[in-house]
Amino acid sequence: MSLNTAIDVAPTLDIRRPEAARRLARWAAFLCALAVLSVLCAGCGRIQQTPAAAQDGYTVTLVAQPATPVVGDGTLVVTLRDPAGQPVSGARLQVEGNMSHAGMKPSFGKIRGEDAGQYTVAIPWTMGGDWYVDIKATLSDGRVIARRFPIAVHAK
Amino acid sequence: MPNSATRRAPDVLTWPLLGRFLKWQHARTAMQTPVLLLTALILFDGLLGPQLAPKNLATVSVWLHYRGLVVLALLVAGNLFCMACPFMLPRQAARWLRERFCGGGRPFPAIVRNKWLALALVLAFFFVYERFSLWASPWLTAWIILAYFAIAFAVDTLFRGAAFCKYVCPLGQFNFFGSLISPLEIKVREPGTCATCRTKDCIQYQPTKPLWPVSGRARPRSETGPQQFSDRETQGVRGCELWLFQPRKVGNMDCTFCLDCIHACPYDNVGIIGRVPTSELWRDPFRSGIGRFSQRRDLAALVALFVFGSFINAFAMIRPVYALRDQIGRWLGGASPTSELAVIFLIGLIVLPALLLIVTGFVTRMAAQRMEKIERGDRDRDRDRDRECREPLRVVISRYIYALVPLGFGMWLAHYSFHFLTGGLTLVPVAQSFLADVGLLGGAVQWGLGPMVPGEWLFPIEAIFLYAGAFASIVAALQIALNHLGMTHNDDPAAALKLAAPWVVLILILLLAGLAILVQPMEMRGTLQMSGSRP
Ligand code: SF4
Ligand code: SF4
Ligand SMILES: [Cu+2]
Repeated sequence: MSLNTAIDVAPTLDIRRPEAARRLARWAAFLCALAVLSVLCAGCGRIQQTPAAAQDGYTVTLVAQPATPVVGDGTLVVTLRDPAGQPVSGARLQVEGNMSHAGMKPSFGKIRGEDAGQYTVAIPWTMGGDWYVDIKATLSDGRVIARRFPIAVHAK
Repeated sequence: MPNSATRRAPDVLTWPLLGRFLKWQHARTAMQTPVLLLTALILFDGLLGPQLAPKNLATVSVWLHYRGLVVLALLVAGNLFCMACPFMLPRQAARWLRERFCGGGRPFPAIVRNKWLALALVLAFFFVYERFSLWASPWLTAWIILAYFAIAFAVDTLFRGAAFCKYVCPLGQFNFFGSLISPLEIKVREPGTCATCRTKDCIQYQPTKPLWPVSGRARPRSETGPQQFSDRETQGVRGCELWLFQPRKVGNMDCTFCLDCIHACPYDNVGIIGRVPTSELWRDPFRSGIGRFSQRRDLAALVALFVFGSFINAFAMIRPVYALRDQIGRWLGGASPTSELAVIFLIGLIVLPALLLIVTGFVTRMAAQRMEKIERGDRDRDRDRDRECREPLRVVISRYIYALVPLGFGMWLAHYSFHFLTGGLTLVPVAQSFLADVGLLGGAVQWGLGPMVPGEWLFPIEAIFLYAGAFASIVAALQIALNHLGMTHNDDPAAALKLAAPWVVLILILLLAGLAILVQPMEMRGTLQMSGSRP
């Protein structure tokens, strides 16, 4: 299973909701929460901004091994290419998996090795179901490339 | 024989600290306020926080903690969620608006003064929950809560009494259903006191206007009760808004544990009293504000929905459901996810339950008819034809369906405790990250926390809940049969066994179905952009 249709990681991703609805929600939320949370809001770092779509031009692909991951120790192969299509080596990768359902702790990936822009990552799948894998690559020039991939893991 | 006079059932209101707190006029408000504040935090994070279910307060606390704690509270105490319900707090404002601008409000329309509307809403909620994977979206979770506040407020502004709780609220209906098995009940302490009571404050005390004209209302309260009328009026004491009249109230159906009757009774004659859990299912007396269970089609349908809903809701979490959905999709020729789900709901929540209940009820009814004939003998058969057990099938079903309540509740308990026990501790890191984000916490977030018990304990715990439910259901079926016979026969255990047998078989079938679901690994699915093939 090649999962190279990355969704841009923009912390609040949601492809279903129009921007207008989100803005409306934000307003309603403010009105509701203001009374109790005015103190907290003052220095609030929790509010998620909606960033512009990733325009870094980099291509990140993710392939799971085996193609249909099952519960247990899993492997991911992440490929990183620059806008010119050249493999990017030497990036520092952070890989984190979360289920789409509340109640499971995150799984963190361990980088096992790199070969010409192909990074091998070990990650434990702790439950069957839908996962999001967030990949954050810090390039040698300090730039950060972030993507989110959905992956379905099967129960044993 | 134990002498019942020597030992009274426990009454929570007589317990040292708790009792005093609950008798305090503002006890409910004191419980609602923290829950309301928590709800505000949940809304805030759900709408503005990270849109990743395991990392958002809204999804974690609603789908793990709220659901888990509600069923556990119903199991060990009673309808504690309604007691502390945050949706009822804005009602003071609604009440004020109603008095000022809506002429005191109107009665809830007669056509929906039953459980059908609530039943439709529960069904719609189950559907929306599965279709839009509510558990996976903090944003939608928060919006559901907001909609809840808005609807509760609107209904209670326009209509008198607790119309929202009694006729609309899907959560309330679930709690009423669950509280049928609870060990506590709000109940009169001394029936003799009620017999001599002339004011009946527990039902008709209204701080502003009585529900109907009451003769002698002008009489100073000091004549009849220990508290002064004027004091009580200003304190906003009111009688039961769900129209449960204490002296004739039976059981927990429709009781929100709001404590109003306790505060209203001038004789301090209402308590929170212990009972044998599930025992209210055994008999079918006239219940104040409800009538007889066996005469209420709407209630029976609601109970059926919650019983079978428990199985469908859990079934939706295991692998076979995806194969089934794909299969249905192929039959329908590439149908949308909505119609695939609609077919599963139609079969699992309507066709199959109806079929099972009709067959089971039919066999019981046939057994009852045969007993009548044997007893009277051929001699009288023609003359007495009119006196045969002619209870319509729907009454037989409505009478016995309450035997399924413990099993259905056991299944909800098993499922929700699974989620609660696997992920209960994730609340800690999620709360930590919330505090860290708003600058109130330094230090590391403990993302490693999660399960509350070792993984291998989960299935045994779930199974125990389900077995206990099935056992209580079998007991209830036999008790219902005994009481059913009480109308036409003397006690006859063998005959009761015959009447209950079809229900016992149904209970065992459902028990097996429940175990078959629980034994499979749960897969936590649920996002629309998942699995490639679906839009
Ligand atoms: S509960 Fe209290 S107010 Fe109600 S009838 Fe009994 S004594 Fe009267
Ligand atoms: S006032 Fe009615 S709903 Fe409230 S606790 Fe008493 S009986 Fe239950
Ligand atoms: Cu579940």
